[in-house]
Amino acid sequence: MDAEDFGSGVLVPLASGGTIVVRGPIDADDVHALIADKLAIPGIAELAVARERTLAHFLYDATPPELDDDAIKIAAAVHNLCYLLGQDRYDETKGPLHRVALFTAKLAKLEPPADEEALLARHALVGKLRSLSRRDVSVRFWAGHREYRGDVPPKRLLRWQSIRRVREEHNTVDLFAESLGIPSARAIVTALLGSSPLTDLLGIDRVEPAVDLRNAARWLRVPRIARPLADEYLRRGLPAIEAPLVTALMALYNQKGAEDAAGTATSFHSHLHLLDLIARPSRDREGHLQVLRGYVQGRERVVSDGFGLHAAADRMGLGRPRDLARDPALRDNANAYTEACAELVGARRLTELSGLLARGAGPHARVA
Amino acid sequence: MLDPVALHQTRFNTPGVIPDGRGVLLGKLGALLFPSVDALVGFFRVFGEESSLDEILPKLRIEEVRGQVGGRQFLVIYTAASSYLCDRASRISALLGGLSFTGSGKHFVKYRDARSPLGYDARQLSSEAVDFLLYDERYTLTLTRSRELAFAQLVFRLSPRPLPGLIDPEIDRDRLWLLAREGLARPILGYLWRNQAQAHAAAIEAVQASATFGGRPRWLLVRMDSIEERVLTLFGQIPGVEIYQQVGERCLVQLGYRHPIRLDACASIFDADKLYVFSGRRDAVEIFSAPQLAPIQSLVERGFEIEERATIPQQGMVAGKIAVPLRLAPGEFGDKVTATIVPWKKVGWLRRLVYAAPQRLLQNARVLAIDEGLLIVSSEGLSSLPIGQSFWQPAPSVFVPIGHRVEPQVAEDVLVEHVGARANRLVIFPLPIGRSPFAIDAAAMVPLGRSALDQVEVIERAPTQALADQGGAASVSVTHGDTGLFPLWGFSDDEVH
Repeated sequence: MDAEDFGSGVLVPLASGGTIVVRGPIDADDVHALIADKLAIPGIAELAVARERTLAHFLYDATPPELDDDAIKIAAAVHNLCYLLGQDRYDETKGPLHRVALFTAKLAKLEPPADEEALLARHALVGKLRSLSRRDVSVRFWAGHREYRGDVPPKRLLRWQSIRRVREEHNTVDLFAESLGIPSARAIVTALLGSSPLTDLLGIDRVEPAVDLRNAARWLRVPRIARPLADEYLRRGLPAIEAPLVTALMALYNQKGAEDAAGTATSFHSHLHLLDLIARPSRDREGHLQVLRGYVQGRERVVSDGFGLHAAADRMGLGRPRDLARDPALRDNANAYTEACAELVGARRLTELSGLLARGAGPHARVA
Repeated sequence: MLDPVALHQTRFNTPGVIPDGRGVLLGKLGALLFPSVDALVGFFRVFGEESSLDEILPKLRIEEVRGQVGGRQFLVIYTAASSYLCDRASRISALLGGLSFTGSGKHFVKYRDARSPLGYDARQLSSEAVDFLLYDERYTLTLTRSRELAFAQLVFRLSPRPLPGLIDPEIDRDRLWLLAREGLARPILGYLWRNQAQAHAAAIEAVQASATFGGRPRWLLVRMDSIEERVLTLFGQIPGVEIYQQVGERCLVQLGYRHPIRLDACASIFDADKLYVFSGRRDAVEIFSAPQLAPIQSLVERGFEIEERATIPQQGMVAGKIAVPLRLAPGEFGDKVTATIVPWKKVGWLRRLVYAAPQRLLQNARVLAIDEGLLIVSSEGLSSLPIGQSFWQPAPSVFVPIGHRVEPQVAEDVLVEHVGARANRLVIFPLPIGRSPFAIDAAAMVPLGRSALDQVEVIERAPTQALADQGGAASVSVTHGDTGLFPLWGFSDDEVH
């Protein structure tokens, strides 16, 4: 694939929205050539503006990212993923298509972002991964049928519609969802999300794959990332994100050697609760309990576990910043809220959650 | 009659049932069948002991039903919010000889048990014209509704049961109340006051006067903040005086009695503005409006005179007045920020914060430029504006820095009168301590929302001619271009560095 096709057909639409034109798979030689001659890729300025616009939804002081090697690898990996999903035998476990899949997964697996700018730059490309779609056409006629993936059927096949009993069906395929059902494509998607932890965190409400908090927890300590992320989560509503977040936390607690990440993620989870708390008028324990029952009513049990986890984290010293005690009114309100959380889940479940948290967060958890 | 449900089974004969996340067959409703009132009450008692009854109270129905051969039974129908809730209800009902079912409409199948952990499905549905059809393994129960019993009605109709022993040894002495006939009010209050008891009292009357005491509708209600053993014993022996223990927020149950259902577990059936008194001795429940309690000292002190007291002139002082200047004193005071002064240096921050400010703040806050900076005042609080020097209001129209108070601590109206604060004249005590307070005219203040907007040039535009949908451009679609004859030919997958 030449630089012009790559720039206008893959990179720019991936960043700004539009139509990615898929050609033959991009191999290692192509990637080498694109990286070596990246200044020749057309639309660099347009790409930077589009990526800045994507980031502006998240950060008010976003700067246009530069076109670096990682951006080329990510765009190439997304292109190859689209190519693989367009093939009839995309799920085979050997042969040339499998080689393409293995190479693409390797290409998508990048080193962790060095700094915030690199993190944001990657998100500006990978962020559109969930919105990838393809329009397929299925043509049935008297002698059989043909499938056209992301392509239009030739006109000759649509002629004499009544005589040949031609029936045309248009179907929009969600490529992100489709890729999760194919192991080789799923590996590429997982690698892309792993390379862009911010995309992974912002897509917390998806069903699959679960958020990898171990990989992403480091960024929850960076205020420039954590603040808008918490704002975005609370915009979606605490009850809505509680279930996937708690599921991801539970998975993290059961991993070995993830104590640091578990401590950070737990504190961030409690931070969300406190932010949600101060957005409402102060209440006593009963008042908070009434609100919490409204939150969990009709939802799965893991949502109430989330509130219990906050109470457990508070017992373990991970539930609130130290300077919260400086405002007595806020401290009392937070205490009443924590008591309400504990009562919501009951003493037995709270003990179980405390045990889980103590095991997961290791030395970061201490009984207060 | 019933088939056990298999894992991943998707088709069922019973209408309105689906497997939940754990695979347990669950309908929209759960149903519990009890053979007697005792078992029914016992169920609510045990459930309330374990967890809040508010979990099953929404849309709860208690139906008195009769089978084909007669015989009164009770059917409790509740919303099956989750299989965890149904498990608990099923376990407790089994303990009391009840049966547990799940389903919707009038068809209910037996809920899961140890023999079929995922539940049961009916082999064949019955078409009998009855109100409820309950499918069990060996038989189908056909039930006809006699009447519906509201849960609140059940709670109010049940008589409190005497506890073994006169007084519960574990009573909470901080939550005891006295209920006395109106005629005993003055001697009781006088006795309590003489014994230095900490208590609050009110005169109350029933919302709906019952026949029991329709002739004497007014009562004295006393909340005892602490009570000594001898006083408790004494009041227990006086006719016309009853001692109650508080249960939950709005219920009183007579001491020595226990209501058959945990009242604190079903708080939602009690109105917030009422007080429910369950008397065991009189076997009655009275509903009062929420009492407005006053300290008993205020009710018993008497002997005041309205003649003006003669002033006693003292040497070196103006008669009747001790002139002490007002001053600020540091300490942990101030609960709600109602004003802030943003220094001129930080006005740039304020400009940026205005974009993030909630609509209510911009609507309610008023702003005025003064020498120190911008003074912003809002009666609804300014906690979302965390810059500048914050002030709280010890009295209307008087503003004192957070973390300080005005000394001496005179009453609000005295302070307001002394500094000349009015609705349109705000008095502010600035820092550092020792600076004179200043007053501003509230009429000169403008809403923050009005002063926040800069001039903006609005350009008139015609409807766009572009056909492209801007909203759709954000998503990415994929189309396959020309890939050549052999796109995989010569594919190189060497590692990329």
